[in-house]
Amino acid sequence: MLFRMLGPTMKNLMLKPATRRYPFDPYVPVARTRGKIVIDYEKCNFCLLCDRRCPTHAILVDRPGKVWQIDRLRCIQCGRCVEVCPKSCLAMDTHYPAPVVAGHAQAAVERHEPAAAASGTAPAAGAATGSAPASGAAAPPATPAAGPGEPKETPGA
Amino acid sequence: MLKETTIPFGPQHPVLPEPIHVDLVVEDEKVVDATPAIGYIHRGLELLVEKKEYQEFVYVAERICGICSFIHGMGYCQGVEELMSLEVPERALYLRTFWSELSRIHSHLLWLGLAADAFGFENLFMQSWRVRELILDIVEETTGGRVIFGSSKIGGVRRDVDADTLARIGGVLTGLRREIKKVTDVFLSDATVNTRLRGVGVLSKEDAYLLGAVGPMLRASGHEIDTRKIGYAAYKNVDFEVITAGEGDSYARCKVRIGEIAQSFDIIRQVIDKIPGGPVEIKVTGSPPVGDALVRLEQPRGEVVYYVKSNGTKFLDRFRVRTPTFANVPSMVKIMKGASVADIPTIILTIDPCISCNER
Repeated sequence: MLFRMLGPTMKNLMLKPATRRYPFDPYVPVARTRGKIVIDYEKCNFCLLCDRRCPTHAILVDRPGKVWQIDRLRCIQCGRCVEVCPKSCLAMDTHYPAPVVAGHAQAAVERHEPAAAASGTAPAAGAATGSAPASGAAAPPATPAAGPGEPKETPGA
Repeated sequence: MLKETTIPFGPQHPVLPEPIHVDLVVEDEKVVDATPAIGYIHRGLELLVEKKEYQEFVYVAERICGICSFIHGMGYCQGVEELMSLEVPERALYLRTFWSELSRIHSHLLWLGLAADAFGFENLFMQSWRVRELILDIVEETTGGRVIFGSSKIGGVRRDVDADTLARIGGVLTGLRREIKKVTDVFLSDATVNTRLRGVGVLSKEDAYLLGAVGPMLRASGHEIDTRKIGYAAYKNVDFEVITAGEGDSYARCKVRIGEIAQSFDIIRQVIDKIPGGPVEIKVTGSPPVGDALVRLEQPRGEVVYYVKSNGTKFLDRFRVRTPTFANVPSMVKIMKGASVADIPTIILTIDPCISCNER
């Protein structure tokens, strides 16, 4: 009774590790694993249902600009969008999204837009949805505009 | 005359998996008074019910806690179903029972590991968590998630488990049960475990009732009270005995939980045998009518109470959870008085505190 754990412990020494030797023995998801949301962009009719139903507001849909965007860091893989999608263009993939380095959260935003907009007027489309890179890009032009205001204020003070 | 000193225990302490804060007034090595402080990790999840539509709030309800997750989601769904007078398909009720019992097994195994860690038996901790991992694999296979099941929805369950998979899982669980028994036997008979648990934190039968203890804490003090016996979900169709112990000490609480692991395996076996066919969900439209509902369920940690109140719109007025940990805090304070400081970690662990639930 004193050394009840001795038997299992000695046996444990003989066994191979209980954990997966991860980088060498890759993770194999099961069929139901909730990994990440994927979209078949060609089938989407921009009905906005996934945008409205998303509990974490991870999905942003712009109907006029035909933009479908998901923030992978906000998404909780609940699968609500897959359930409500009337065109069945959303699906749950079994693989997790790629990791994101701290300070580069924008890399986790996946954006789908018409091919023409992507090549030609990408910044304009970005400004319409108010995404972070677009506002970052808009900041430098805004500074010269604010510049003339400063001299005016200085004499006043 | 000994001098009284106040020692803050927590919120950060090596033995605690979650931040609970207790101010201990000690005389030498003996605790004479304890003051718990609640609210360190309050997140305001209950208020979110006013911001999320009632069908989406189930995701928030489930994320109240990472261990009791499934039953939180299920309790919220049951509340709304009661409000809307929905008739949930039988198969969905059986599947809810199946997942509830899986979450009970993995929660109790997690607790066994944490308890072993608290009294310094790292090897036993490792073995408990190793077998827990195999339960989580079954959870992932049936729901797609390891911690957040995401399977309960208003009007049924989100995923069905087909008969072949259920039969196979039944076979796997039989093997797992033997594996788990090897680990739990150590808890019940090892000399080290006995020394650390026997006679520590004794809660008398009267005190347990008067202080409103719930779950294994109450049953270890000799009360035969289990909310599953009121027959929610499919529990009305399965046979099980309420597991009790008389001693009321930490060892008794450990024994009750170990008994419940075996009992959960029995219930799952019955669910797999009795599960009827048919749909797993019904279509839910419209908003809940004006009114309120109260739901009582049995979490791994004890009885949990959910209250939902609707104002007739898609947004509920109020969602409230009375968690088992909250109900067990007065008993914890009671058994801390008179204990030695070295036993405080064991005492805190034996109520199986779930601070995420408690402070929401």
